[in-house]
Amino acid sequence: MKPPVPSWLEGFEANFSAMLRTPLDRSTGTLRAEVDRYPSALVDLSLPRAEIPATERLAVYNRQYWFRLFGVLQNEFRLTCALLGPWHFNRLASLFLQESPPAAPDLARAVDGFVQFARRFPIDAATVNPQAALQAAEIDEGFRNLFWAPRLSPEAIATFQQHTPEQLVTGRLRPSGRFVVIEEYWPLIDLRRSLSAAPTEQRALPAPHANGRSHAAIVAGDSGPIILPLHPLQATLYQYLQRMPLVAALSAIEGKASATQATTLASDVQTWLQTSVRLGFWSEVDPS
Amino acid sequence: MSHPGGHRIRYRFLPLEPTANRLPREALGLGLRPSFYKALFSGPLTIDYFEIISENFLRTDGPPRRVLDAVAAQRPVVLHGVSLNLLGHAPLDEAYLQQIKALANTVNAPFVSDHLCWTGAHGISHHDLLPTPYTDDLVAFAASRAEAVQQTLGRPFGLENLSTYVEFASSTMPEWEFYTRVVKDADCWFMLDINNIYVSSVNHGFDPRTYLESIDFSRVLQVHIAGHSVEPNGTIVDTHDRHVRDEVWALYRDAWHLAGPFPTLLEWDAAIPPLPVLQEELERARKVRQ
Repeated sequence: MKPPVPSWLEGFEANFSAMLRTPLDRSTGTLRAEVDRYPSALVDLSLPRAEIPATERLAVYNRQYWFRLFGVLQNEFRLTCALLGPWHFNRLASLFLQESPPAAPDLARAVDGFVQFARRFPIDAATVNPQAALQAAEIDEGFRNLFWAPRLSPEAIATFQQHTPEQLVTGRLRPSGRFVVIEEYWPLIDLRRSLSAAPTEQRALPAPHANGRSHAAIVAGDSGPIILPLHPLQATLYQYLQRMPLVAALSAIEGKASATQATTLASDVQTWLQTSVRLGFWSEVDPS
Repeated sequence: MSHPGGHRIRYRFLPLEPTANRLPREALGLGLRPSFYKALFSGPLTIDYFEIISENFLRTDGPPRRVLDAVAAQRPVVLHGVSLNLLGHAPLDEAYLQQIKALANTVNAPFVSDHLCWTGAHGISHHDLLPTPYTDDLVAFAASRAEAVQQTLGRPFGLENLSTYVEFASSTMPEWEFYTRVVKDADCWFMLDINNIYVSSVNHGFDPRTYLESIDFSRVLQVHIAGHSVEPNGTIVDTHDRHVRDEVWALYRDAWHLAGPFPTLLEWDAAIPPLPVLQEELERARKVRQ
């Protein structure tokens, strides 16, 4: 016979959880625990010590909860944090965590869904260009996903290369999860690579790319991410290949190429495909 | 389980002795952290064993697991969890436990440990080690769950004492009594954190040596040491972000002279210095014992 759950435990944990998750007040320009909002039943149960009231003792946990999670978000989304500055970033993080509290045992998973939240959240244009902030969040998410990319052995790549041209043309390439295609209007990938950890202050948005926008693939490498600059059509090809068969992707690309580009498109596509196979973009060819 | 006569038999398994691949009792270990992954393999490994935060290695792909495989090929690795939620009111997460079991099997861990605390409720994981009142009914509940965890894992399971910052009026016993009763009733093991004893002793005003003397050191799998910070109001917070303080070294020396040897592990989780500094800190443990 298993001992029952103590009758008081669930209520205690509900009150403690409410205390932990009480958002920190920002009105004074610093993050401050709002101890007056703690559940009275928990405060009554908690003992003061010497000159330290019970609420102050509980506040250690309240602050620790938020700062730990802010730290994880700032580190995983360091580029977004750099552009917004930690103060404004923490506001976004706080609202996200209030809406989507962590559920998984792995702390790194606490940031799952942050990009989707940032897309819905109106970013104050006085802080940073909102479009740049979103691009930054997507770049951060790309780096984050690639950290967990599966390893692809040379043998796996060699096996992939054994597919016949017919299989490749009519089939659908299955992405390996080892690359992310980025279209950026500012040199944000470079800015992120200059940040070794969570930034402690706001960084200025760099000047936009001279030609309007730039394309790159972030690729999982054995000793860290590799940045592969892409021709715009190459970027489009890789994006199409993630959602349509090769033959359809090639047809779509031909429709986008200028007359000048069309003259070399066949050899360019061949090179781009070889590059993608060599770098392990695809893990399998599925029948379409 | 019933036998044919219908009598209910409660099989009470003996504690799982950590003898198959146990750590040397004098061993000095280090918490494995990403900041020194590269440095680890740049020269010979001089650290006796490593401890991992289990939850950081649950995914079977990615660099952490590859590093773990390489480390485990050369040194013993023990598992230390932070999300078991032993004192949570909700049922234990069986899927999570199976993941921990698989990870422990993968590295052939001499033992697995987690904390005598709760870590989440109502579907939310708080990612913190949270206190409760210490009561008789919670002893029984906790011991039953710890026993079940050890049986599921199939290897020795150690419980770590917490650093705490608040106490509750409904407690009916001191922390060390709660801790020792749970471990004894569960037939599991102590994962004794010396720094946490010191932190809680200052925050709550008890003699840390009373705590030490209550521990059956024959059941201590491992001892943790770590640094802590002091807040302006005198509260000590278990931050793992600096050198071990002299007061904690003194308590460690007391424990060693009281009941050593035992495996000792340094935890350093924030503002982590280069690997040589961590190795020097471990060497200090060796000197303090003399």
